[in-house]
Order: sequence, then structure tokens, then C-alpha cells
Amino acid sequence: MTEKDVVERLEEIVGKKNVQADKIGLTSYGYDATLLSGVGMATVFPLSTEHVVKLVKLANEAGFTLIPRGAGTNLSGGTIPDGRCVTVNFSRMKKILDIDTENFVAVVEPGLVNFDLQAELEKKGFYYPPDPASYKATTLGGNLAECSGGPRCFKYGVTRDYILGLEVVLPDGKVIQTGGRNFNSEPGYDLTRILVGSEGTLALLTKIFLRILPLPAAKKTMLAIYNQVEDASQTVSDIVAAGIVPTTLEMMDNLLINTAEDATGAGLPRDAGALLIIEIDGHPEDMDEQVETIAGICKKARVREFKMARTAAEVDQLWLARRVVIGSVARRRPSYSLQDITVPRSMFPNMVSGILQIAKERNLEVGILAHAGDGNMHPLVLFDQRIEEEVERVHLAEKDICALALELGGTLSGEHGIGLLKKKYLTLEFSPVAMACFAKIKNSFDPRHLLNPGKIMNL
Amino acid sequence: MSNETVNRIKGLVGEGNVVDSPSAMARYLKGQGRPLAVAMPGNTAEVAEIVKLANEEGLKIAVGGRVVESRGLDGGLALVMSRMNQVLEIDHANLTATVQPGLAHTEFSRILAEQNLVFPPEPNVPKTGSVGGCFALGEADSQAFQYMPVRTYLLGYEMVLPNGDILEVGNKCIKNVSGYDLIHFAVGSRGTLGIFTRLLVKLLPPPAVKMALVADFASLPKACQAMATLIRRRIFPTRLNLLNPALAAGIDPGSKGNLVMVDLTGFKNSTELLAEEIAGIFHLAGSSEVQAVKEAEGYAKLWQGWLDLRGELNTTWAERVIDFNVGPMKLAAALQALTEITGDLGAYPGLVAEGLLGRVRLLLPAAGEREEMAVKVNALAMSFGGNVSGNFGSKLVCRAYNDAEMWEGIESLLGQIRRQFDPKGILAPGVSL
Amino acid sequence: MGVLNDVYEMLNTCNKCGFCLTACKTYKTDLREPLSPRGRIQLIKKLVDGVIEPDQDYEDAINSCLLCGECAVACPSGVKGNELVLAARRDLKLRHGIKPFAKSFALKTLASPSRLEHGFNFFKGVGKGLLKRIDGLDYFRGVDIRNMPAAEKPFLEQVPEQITVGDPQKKVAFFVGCFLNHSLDGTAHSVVKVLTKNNCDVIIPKDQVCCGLPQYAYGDFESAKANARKTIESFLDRKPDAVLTACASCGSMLRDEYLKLFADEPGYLPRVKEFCAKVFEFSEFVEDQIKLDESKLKAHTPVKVTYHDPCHMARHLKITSQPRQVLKSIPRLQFVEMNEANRCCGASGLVQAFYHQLSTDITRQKTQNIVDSGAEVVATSCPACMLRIQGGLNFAGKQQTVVHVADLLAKAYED
Repeated sequence: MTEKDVVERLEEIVGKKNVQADKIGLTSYGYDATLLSGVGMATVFPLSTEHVVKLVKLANEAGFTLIPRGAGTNLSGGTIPDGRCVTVNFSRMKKILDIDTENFVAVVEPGLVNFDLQAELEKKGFYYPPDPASYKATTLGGNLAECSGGPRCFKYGVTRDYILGLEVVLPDGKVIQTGGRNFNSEPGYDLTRILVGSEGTLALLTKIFLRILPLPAAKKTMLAIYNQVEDASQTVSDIVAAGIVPTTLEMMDNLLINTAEDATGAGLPRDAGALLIIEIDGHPEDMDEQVETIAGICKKARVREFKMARTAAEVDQLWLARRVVIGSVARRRPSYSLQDITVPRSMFPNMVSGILQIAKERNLEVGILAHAGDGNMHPLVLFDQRIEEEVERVHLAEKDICALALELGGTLSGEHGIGLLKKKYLTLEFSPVAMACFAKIKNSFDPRHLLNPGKIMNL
Repeated sequence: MSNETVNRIKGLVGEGNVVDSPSAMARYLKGQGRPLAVAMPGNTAEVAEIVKLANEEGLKIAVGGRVVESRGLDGGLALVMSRMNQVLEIDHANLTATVQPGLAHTEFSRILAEQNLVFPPEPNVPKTGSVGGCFALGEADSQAFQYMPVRTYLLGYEMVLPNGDILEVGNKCIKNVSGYDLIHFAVGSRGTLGIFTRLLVKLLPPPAVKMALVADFASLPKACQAMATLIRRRIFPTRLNLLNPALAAGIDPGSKGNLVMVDLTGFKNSTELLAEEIAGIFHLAGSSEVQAVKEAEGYAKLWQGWLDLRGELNTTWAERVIDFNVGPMKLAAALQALTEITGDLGAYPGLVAEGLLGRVRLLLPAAGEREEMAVKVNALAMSFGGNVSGNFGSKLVCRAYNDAEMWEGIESLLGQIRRQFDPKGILAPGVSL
Repeated sequence: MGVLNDVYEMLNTCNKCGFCLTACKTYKTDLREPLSPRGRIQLIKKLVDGVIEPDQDYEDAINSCLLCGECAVACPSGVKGNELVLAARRDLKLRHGIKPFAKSFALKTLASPSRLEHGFNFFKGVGKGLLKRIDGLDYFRGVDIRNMPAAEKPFLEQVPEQITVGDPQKKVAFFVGCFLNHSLDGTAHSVVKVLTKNNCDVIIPKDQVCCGLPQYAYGDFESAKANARKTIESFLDRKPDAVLTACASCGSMLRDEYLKLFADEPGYLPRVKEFCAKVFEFSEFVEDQIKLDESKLKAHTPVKVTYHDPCHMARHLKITSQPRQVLKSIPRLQFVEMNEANRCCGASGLVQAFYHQLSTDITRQKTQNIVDSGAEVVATSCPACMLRIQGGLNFAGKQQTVVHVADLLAKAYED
């Protein structure tokens, strides 16, 4: 079947206005939030499960592959097309099918934007805990495919912990439901869990059953500023050991404090070594006790300044630096590479000093942003994508950082996924036996390698 | 031939660690199967060697912590993991432990308590359950609303695959999305994907305060309403379990009706306030007696009673249990509707409801016809947006929807995965997915 | 290509994170990447890099932008998508002039007072009658033609050039703007009333022309400059204390964009700066420059009012609290906020004419938010928004009416 025939058939399935195959369209769906890009044959917007089934059947018949895509905000190259493939853009399948607050379930289509769900839930006093930094733009299907995290993970867990069930279209066109509205609904194997984080390589999502929670009755936000990163790390360990489980323990290093200050002028001390944003939630009557404990721990760790927000405006003020920080580095250099390594909490200080060492050796500027409670770190390596030689050094530094994380007992990815970008490092983390198991999973679902080929691993 | 096989196994794990006389094997087995021998490997290498041997000889293997399910194991080998029962590491800084799979679940909890740590999952069977078994069965127990399902406590493992390869995955990071999620996928696979030989599990610091409330309700609907009121008022205890009179008597001999057991763990201030509020709600809802259990001994005894009951449901009574979910706030209506099938639930052999999960386990009369009953209960649960759980449930759901294609899709996918991992069908012959 | 090379640094700073997607009304409505800020920025960059050609699809992506400026607010890296689109439109204009003919014709008409007057005369006479007779053409491209107001004669012909009060506290030159002059003359009268009631002399230069924004927005900097120069000279000649406009779009052009437009004429720039410093938007002027004597405001029928922030108000002029303050100071007026009050209504100059389906869908979201707020009246600060939103409400069969903040305030001075 020629490309033109394929496009015609796609138009028959979803209608002309739900297919984009012009030059501009192909270009626009060739990239995501990484530096990678590619070109496919077309982008198609299914509106229903039935559409997806027909697309899958056509792909089988005509011999092309399918690249599922949501908002294209992933940081791993997970939606980059390549050659004889059609991008399946789920962003128009965005209905909220049900919000059942009494039974803690929401049922949605995969193209729904995380933020749009949160807004609806909030009206009912509920929320969906996973909130990746990009939650205003990302689709829930995309969150699920990458198993996204966010700043609240330390207490509430990642996407996989909030997916109760799925409706998916398998690569042979069959529709199955995994899990359901309740815990303990899996048929035999926990198919839902293997699908979460599978980066669109196993099946196409058409419906998601999410677990939702009531908004916490009380919340306290604190800011602690330190002279040294080590003191901030010590605080994190001590808080956890004290039996307190904060929702958030966000850390920024000196470079990021400075770029954030450039962007906001909020009055952060430019000579500080690190800052921590600490947030706890729960019963109102438990807040004071915990705040007191945390303040004590910070003091013991030689905190230089400790603030607790007393009003909503003050909470916003404390979060301001964190919210702008990633983009604020653009004031220093136009491009940044964002890593997603995670190490055991106890290895956190070693990882921080290791990253700074690597940056020095590779002659690069790097800022460190971390979800410190869970050891998930986002070193931001700054560069200019137009300078090839520098890009080379960035790639070398990325590899060094990944290798160090693994050496310290960590993992390549805490919440962004592997995609194309980290695929080459996967064998550093996994033995041939584990890689063979991945292949077994892939082959069980998708023996013809129809879905998102080349992502996670080569087969 | 078979004697030779047993000898080879003895050669691998040591003579003293293989039992092959039917009488001696009996204490390690449940069910009617007749395996060739029971072996107790001492380390990963021995397990791997045994599996390789099984591959050569086409021997089937089933695994257990203390006791092995022998269904389908005629002429096969039962592996009892009781010798691999060590705690290899407790990491206070990262709140993790590395253990061997044969470690008894209750023993693990005891060791952790000494170190001021907690492993929240409830043992499947307090007397014989192992940590390995806990994850092999893996479910959302009655604390899952607060502490999350059992799978969330597994961070990594070492596993001998059906071909004898040794798979190692996971690390001490709470967040980990590298590659396919083999870690959590293995939970609940009931020994079909491989044999756990080492587990890396997540721990928690203990809650500041623990207390319980026990409330007697003459009327089952009123007990359900009381639980619904808690949820409506956004009170979410750690556990909120309901037992019908037949089962309540086993836990609290003085109980006169249906028993609601509330577990509260957390910070001191809120826990005490909640306890008062809940007691008030229960009184208003018509409880004849609400009793607060604050002292450690009484608390421990009460929940041990619950765990023992859970153990019975999972073992002795397993074949008589229908397990279904409807969602927390639908319990009252679902149980009301259930009486049309079962008659008065107060007089029924057993009923357990986990209020925060909306999960019900119904213990059928000894002579009952399970499948026929399950079809009816499933139809009921589906009308409330739930269904009978597990593969059995999925099959019934597909049947109810007349959706043979979906069932075929699920069944072939499950079969495909199992074949990919275990093409010769060596492991867990008694488990049908 | 020079225009785009000048902004290449900013194009390169877009890291494609996608945080702008949700901020963009055209993307949120249509959900195609080329209609998103990131999509547009990447296309512009690829055009500069020589990867793509400026074909029709490219022009559609560039010209469908509402220039609402929300993407710039959302961008963590400080990339201003609206400015990049503006540069891309300038680049297109330099490549081949403004296409299609209808757009170029419309922009020329707007730029010339006499042509604009002829246009409106035709519309309110023959044109409107003609359109009314065509079945199903009540709403032409989402605009409620039948109910679109047209001034009997232009406002500038209705009033003297100077209205004086005894002992004025300020001398204000009123920049009326095309919409208030030809369509919403009542609002222009409201502005004059509020000013005179507050002891201001009002000068209304008869020779005033279009501010130049429509031409500027499509890259015709030459026409825009010509109009800008006329405006600056005409108004500065009158030596006012303030130049006042009741149109947020005109306001952003007069106060901010003129500075950018003349950045390449350092000799003239001081004059431009002198002018820009005098420009005030209506509610900003009322709240900040003159003291509103609330005791003089009279109570009328109670009314529930919500406020729509025009894009040029919220993100260009950054005036958000003053119009709300003005509304709240009116007796018996109950103020309620609507959801997404500061999001674009979909009008955006010629976007509503050339991408009417998209524009209509965006307006529908705005009218829904208005209805949900429970307000009976929507106040705003931009005549383009007023017409667009009223059309949308009428189209949806809703009873709510749209007025200018000045209209509500002027009413409170009525006996």
C-alpha cells in the first residue's frame, strides 16, 4: 500500500479533519521535548475505541507501525516517528467518562490533560495525586505510558499506584479490559502494571480507571535554606527517619537558586548552597507537631534560614522559585539536558558531589534540582545546541551521570522513561537475562513489533 | 528413572534436605497431588540447578514457603523455601530490607519491630506464610487504602526463571521506571514466572499511635450505613472491616451480632480525635456496644484474630469463598441485594467486608455449588460497577457481556506471557491463570 | 530573512517542553500541534533553517495565532511566542505582501478613515439589509451581523472637538478608536460623560486615525508607522495631560508597540516616548489618575456583573485590578468572577474572519464561562471583545449583555 493509499484509508476511518499528512503536520509531530526528531507518514486523531481498533487492523494489513502520542511533552524521545509509521494522537479522545468520588474512581479517556482532570476533581474536593511538572499540558495517557511522577511522589507514589484498570487495544486489534474500578480486579497477571510505563510499546490505551483521593484537610509549606548541600541532604534523611512522610522535599542547588533569583527577584540568597521546599499534609491537628519536629531537624542540620508559609500567598511565594527554575536556566544558556536518575536516599550527597565533579571534568555548567525525598534528581546540564562540540561533551556527561547513578545503586530513570534517549544505557542497568525478559513481555503483547518500535530497546 | 532424579536432587541440595517418602512429605504438602519429592534448597545456585535439572527431565516444580500446593504436581518436585529464611540486610537510611523468600512473614514482622520498623502487608496465612508467598500471591489487603496494595512494597528481587537463568531487577529507589516494570508485574504471578530467591522490600517507620475500635451491630444494614457515614465524613481509618455474626464470634466471643473492626494508626492528636468521632458515629448509627482498644496487648490480640480469620479464608476455606468488589459506598446496597441470593446474611456461614476497599468475601455453605453462585454474585457485583475478582471473575464478566472476543484476548495474552517465560510449562502446574 | 534572524536567539531558546500548550486557546480548541505556540515556534525555526517552505499550511499556523500572549506567560524559559509570530508575519509580508486579498483589503480599509467610513455606511445601509434577507446568514463567521450596532453617524461627527468643564483637574485627549467611532458610539459617549463628571476637559481630535495595530499585527509595519506618526503628532500638538483610550487593543498599540515600531528611528524615538508616557487605558486612568468620588455614584437596579479581561488588557497593558475596582465601586453592583476570565474571547482582529470556525469554538468557551458565573452583565474594556462576546451570547441564545466598564460607570452618574 502506498503512503497515499494509507492516508486515504486513514481518512476513511477517522474522517478527513482527523488526519494530518501535510508537510507542516509531519514536521510538527516529528519532535517532542527532547532534541530528537524524525518524520512519519501521517498523524491521525482517533475519537473512539472503535477508531483505534480499525487503525490497528489497518496497520496490520498495510504493514506500517503506530506511534502513540499525547501532548508530546515527554523527555525521552518516546514519540519520535521514524519512516513507515503513523502517529496516533490521542489528544482528541479527552472525555471524562465518570467521576465517582464516593468510590474513589475516575474513568477517563487517555487524551485528557492531567490539569483538566484536576480542575474537575477539585470542584468536588478531590484530586489525582500524580502531578508531573508538565501536568498542565500532559495527557493522562502519556503520564501512564511513562509512569510519570512529580513532586508529591514521596508520600503518594507514582502513576502506577493510581491506575486501577485500563481498556486497551492489543496489537492484533482485540480490545481487553485489565483491572477495573477496584483493587484486586486483575485477571491472573497484573496486566495493568506491565502496561503502566510501557511507553506505548505493548498496547494502545483507550480508557483509564484512576484512583482519586479527597484533598487533604491541611497542608503546611516550609522553606529551608542551607550553606551546604550536605546539610540539606542530612535534613532529608532525618525527617524520614523521624517517621514524617512529607508530600514534597524539593531541593535546588546554588546555580539554580541564582537562575531562579534572576527570573523572579524573590530575594533568595545568592550565596546559599541549597534550598529545600518541604510540604506536609494530613489532619489539621497533626500539623503543628510535625512542623515543630521538622524545624528542629533543620536546625540540627545547621539551617541558615527556616520559613513557614502562613498564608496562601506565602505558599505561592515559597513555590515560586521551584516553579520557574527549569526554564530560568535559559537565561544562562539556551539549551539544557534534563536527566532523571534516581539513587537510594543515602547516596544522595555522593550523587550530588559526583555530578558536580563530572560537570567540572567535562567543562559544563550544571544545576541540580532534586525530589530529594525519593532520591530522584534532575541535573540540568546547560549548553547551546548550535555548538556541536559542546553537545558532544553534554552527551559524555550524560553517560557519566547515568553510570554514576547505577554505580551508587540507582536507576536511569525515576519518572521520565527510557524511550530512544536512554536506550543505549539500558544494558548498563539490566543484565542480558533481564533484557531477555523485556523481550518476552514485548513479544507476548506485540510479536510483530507494530507499536512504537525501537523505543525502550531494540528487538 | 525417578529414583535417579531424586538422587540427583539430593546431590544438589544435600541428602538431608530432600524428603521423598509420602508420609514425610505430607507435612509439606496440601492438595491431592503426589510429587516425587520435596526439596529444601539452601541458596539461589541450588534453586537454579534444580530448575535446570527439571528442564532436562521435564519435571514440574511447585514452590512454597512452608507448604506447597501439590495440585498438578504428580511425579514432580515440591520446593520448600524454609531454609532460605534469612534477613540479609536492614537498611535504616533507605528504609529497605533484603530478605530471602522463605522467611516467615510473622518472623519478619517480629524482627522489624525490634528495630522499630514496619512491613505493612498482612500475611496471607499467619502460621505458614512467607515473605516470598506474600508477593507471589500479592493482593490489596484491608489496609490498602492507607498503605497501598502489597505490590508497592516490593522494590526488587532475584528470581530463578523457568529456564534456570537468574533474573535480578530493582534497587533501593522508590521511583524507578527503567524498562518494563518486571518488579511489580511479578507480584501476584503465583510462581508461574519464576522462583523468588531474594527480595528487596520497602519498610516504614512505625506509626506514633495504634488503637482499635470494635463495634457490635445487631443489624447488618446499619453496620454498613455506619461505615458509609465515616467515608462520607472523610474519615479514613487504616482498616474498616465488617464480619457477620458467624465469623465475629471467632474474634470476639462476647459479640452478639455483626462486628465492625476499626484500626487507627497515625499521629497521636488526630488518632484520638478520630477515635472519639467514630465511636460517636457508631453509637448514633445503632451500635449496641462500641469498645475502644488502646493497650498494646489487646490491640495485638484483636488484629491477630483478624489475620487468623484471613488465613482461614485463604487456606481451609479457599474453595468456598467468593470474592468480589463493588466500591466502598456501594457496600450497603450491594449487601442488601445479596440477601436476595443468599437469604439472611446474619445466618450465613461467613461474610467479610473490607469497608475502605468495597471488597466482600462470602463464605459459602460447605455443600454449596460455587460456580453457579459465582455467576449470580458476579451479575450482582457488575450491576454495582464491580465484579468477582481474579481471572475467574474476568471470565464471568466477559460471559456476562457476551464478549467472547475479550475473553479470548485476555486468555490468549495470559497464556502467551506464561509460555514466553515458561515454554516447557515447568513451574506452578497447579496454577491456572 | 533578516527579521527572523533577529529573533533566532529566542527561537533557539524554546526547549519544546510544551508548557505553553495548555495556555494556547487555539491549541486547546483544535488540538493540532501546528496551532500551538510550540508548534508555531518550531515551524518558524524550521523555516529559518530552510527545512520547510512558507506554504499555505505554514501561513495558516502563523495567521491563526490570536496573539493573546498567554504562551509567553506560561513559558518557563521566557520565550514570547506572540512576538515570534509577529516577526513571522512581518517576514511573510516582506516575502509577498499580505495575502489573501480580502485580508489586505480589510487592513487597508481600516487604515484609511474615509474608506472605513464608506465601509460602515455601506454596511448599515444596504449591506445589513441585504445580509438580513439571506436565510441563515444572521451570523456571518460567528459575528452576529443582524445585531451588530452601527453608529448613525461617526462619533467624531457627533461631538465638538473640545468639551470643557470649569476648573478642570486634567486635560484629556480622547483616542476614540475605530470601533467606538463607527459602531459603539454609546460607549464613547459614556467615556466622555465619566471624564466630564470628574472634572476633566476632553479634547477629541477630529483628525485621528486608526492606531495601526491591525496592520502591525500582520506585518505591515509601513502602514502602521504612517498611522502611528499621524496619531502621535495630532495628539501631542494638543498638549494634553493624558491620552486616553477605552480600547485595550488601541491602548497596547499606543503605549507599548509604538516604542517597538519606532525602535529603528532613534531620531524620532524621544517624541514617541513622550507620547507613550501619556497614554492611559480608561479604567486605569479613572482609578489611578483621577480620584473617583464614590459618593457621587447613584444606585440603580441591582445587577450581577462579571468582567472579561481582554488579552491586551491582561497581558499587554497588564491592567487587571483597576477595572474590577471601578466595577466594585458602583452601588448595588454585585461583582462575580468567571472561570478563565483572562482568556481570549476568540476575536483577535482578523482571526475571527479568516479562522471563523476556530474563533467561534473559542468564543463558545468564553460564553459558557460567562453563563456559569451567573452574571447578567459582562463588562469588559475592549470593543472588539464586546462585539465578539455579545455575538457569541446571542448565537447561543443567552440573555446576558456585554457592556464596557465605562458604560456601567456612566450609568451611575445618571439621575
